[in-house]
Amino acid sequence: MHGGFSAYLRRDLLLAYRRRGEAASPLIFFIMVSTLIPLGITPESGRLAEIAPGIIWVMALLATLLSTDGLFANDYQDGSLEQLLISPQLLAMPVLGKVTAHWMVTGLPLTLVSPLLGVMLSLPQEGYLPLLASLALGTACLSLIGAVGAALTVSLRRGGLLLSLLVMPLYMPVIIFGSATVQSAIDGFVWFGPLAILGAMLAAAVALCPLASAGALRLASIN
Amino acid sequence: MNRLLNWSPSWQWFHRLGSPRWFYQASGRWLPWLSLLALTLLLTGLVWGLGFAPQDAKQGNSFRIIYLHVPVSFLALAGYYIMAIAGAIGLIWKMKLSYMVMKAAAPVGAALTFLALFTGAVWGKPTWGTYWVWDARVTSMLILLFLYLGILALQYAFHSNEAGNKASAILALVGTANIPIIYKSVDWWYTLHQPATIKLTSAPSMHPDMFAPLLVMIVGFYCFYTVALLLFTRAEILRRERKSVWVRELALGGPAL
Amino acid sequence: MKFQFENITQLFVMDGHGVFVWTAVLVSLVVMLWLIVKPLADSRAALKDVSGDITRAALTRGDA
Repeated sequence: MHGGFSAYLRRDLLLAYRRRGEAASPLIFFIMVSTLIPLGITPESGRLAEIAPGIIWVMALLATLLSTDGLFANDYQDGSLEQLLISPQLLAMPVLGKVTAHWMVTGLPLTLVSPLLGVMLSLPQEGYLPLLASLALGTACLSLIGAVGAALTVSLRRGGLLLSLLVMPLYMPVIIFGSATVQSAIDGFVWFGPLAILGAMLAAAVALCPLASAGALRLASIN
Repeated sequence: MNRLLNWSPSWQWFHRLGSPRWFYQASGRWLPWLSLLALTLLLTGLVWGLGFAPQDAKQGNSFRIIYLHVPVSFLALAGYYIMAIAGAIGLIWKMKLSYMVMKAAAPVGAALTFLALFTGAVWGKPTWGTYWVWDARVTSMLILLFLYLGILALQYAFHSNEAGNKASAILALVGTANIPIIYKSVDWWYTLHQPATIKLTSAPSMHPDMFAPLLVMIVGFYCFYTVALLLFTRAEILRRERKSVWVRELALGGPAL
Repeated sequence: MKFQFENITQLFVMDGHGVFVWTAVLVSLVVMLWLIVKPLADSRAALKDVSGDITRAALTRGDA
């Protein structure tokens, strides 16, 4: 594809493959925290089933948030970000490539293991397909929004905590519609409505977030 | 063409407005009048609203908190847009003064958002029987407070002023694009979970005798907001322009305007 | 338009709702006051800083 999209996608996927351990940690976090829920609240399956959609979504959000920090950090440290900034091409396309790679190594695995967590938290039968669908669209939204925060804070020391403060309020619509998709399926309603809104959010995020991230990345060179 | 643009009087005010020195002096002339107007309106509205407006039939006297809660909530939201617009002007026309206004708007807006939440909670206790309810408007206001806090945190994290200004402006713009989405989704979320027993939205139809003092308070708060924004901007101007000749003269020449 | 309360004490009690109303009023006034005092104090400190710098610079030049 054009403008450095596929080049950066391939490069970041390769880098993620070389640092497999690092890339796996959000996934392990996602599974580990789900163990805390029965320990902290109740092992009783009826009550777990009630809160499972929301809990799985909250954990997916936190796991994505944890990994967003590193989206541009490595490039900033080894200087390849500078190189990207002075190159003549439109910055938004490489950024979109990097974000896509980020989603493929965090959001997509999270989506794929979510049925396992569904079983552990006794998610009702009707919830599995909506959970997969909403997480696939929703985590892509989260990666894109998170990229703006990561770009804004890349040149700051201890930017990770600040990053979560910045993007958490922007995540809230995603979690509302994400968990609502699963919940309405469990309650026996049509779940395409909230899912369609998630899709609309993703479309808007694909169009706008790379531009905002590109603008924010240019600040890294003047700070 | 270029010359024409530069010389045409319709653009002169814009360039003059961009000068921190001109703004500092002009705002010094406006402030006494604005402050007087704000004080008069707020005092009138408060005495009228607390003492003379008729009681609400259902809520009794606790409804009088509306005279603070509603104007403060208006400005909390309007303040975010003002901040974002100032940031956008700074990004587009590279106007220094505009960034200063944006920076000044963040603490003012955050304080007003906090007040909106606080007065809402205090109003909630006699009305709903609890200080905190996850009502759609309360939740949206809380998210707005988070957005303000994010801007404040980001501003102070950067070493370079320029980077800090631009970063805050970008974040404010991203937040502005999100505010309608956040409000709509929280609204939708609330209709999904609304408990049937409590109905929180009070009837919007207000008696004119109740509404008139509210209007006075809203206009008064707009004036107050302008005063606070000008004061914060002036403080920021002095901090930024400390090396310039006119600030040095001002510092030696006794009391500020 | 008439005063809604029997006397001033009633204005503060407000049929038991006075605590809430006056707490809201008081906290609002405190926050609003802060919004005025804080920038004024900042401005004053900034000007004092500048004049301090100038006198210090003049002193060192005088010594040299």
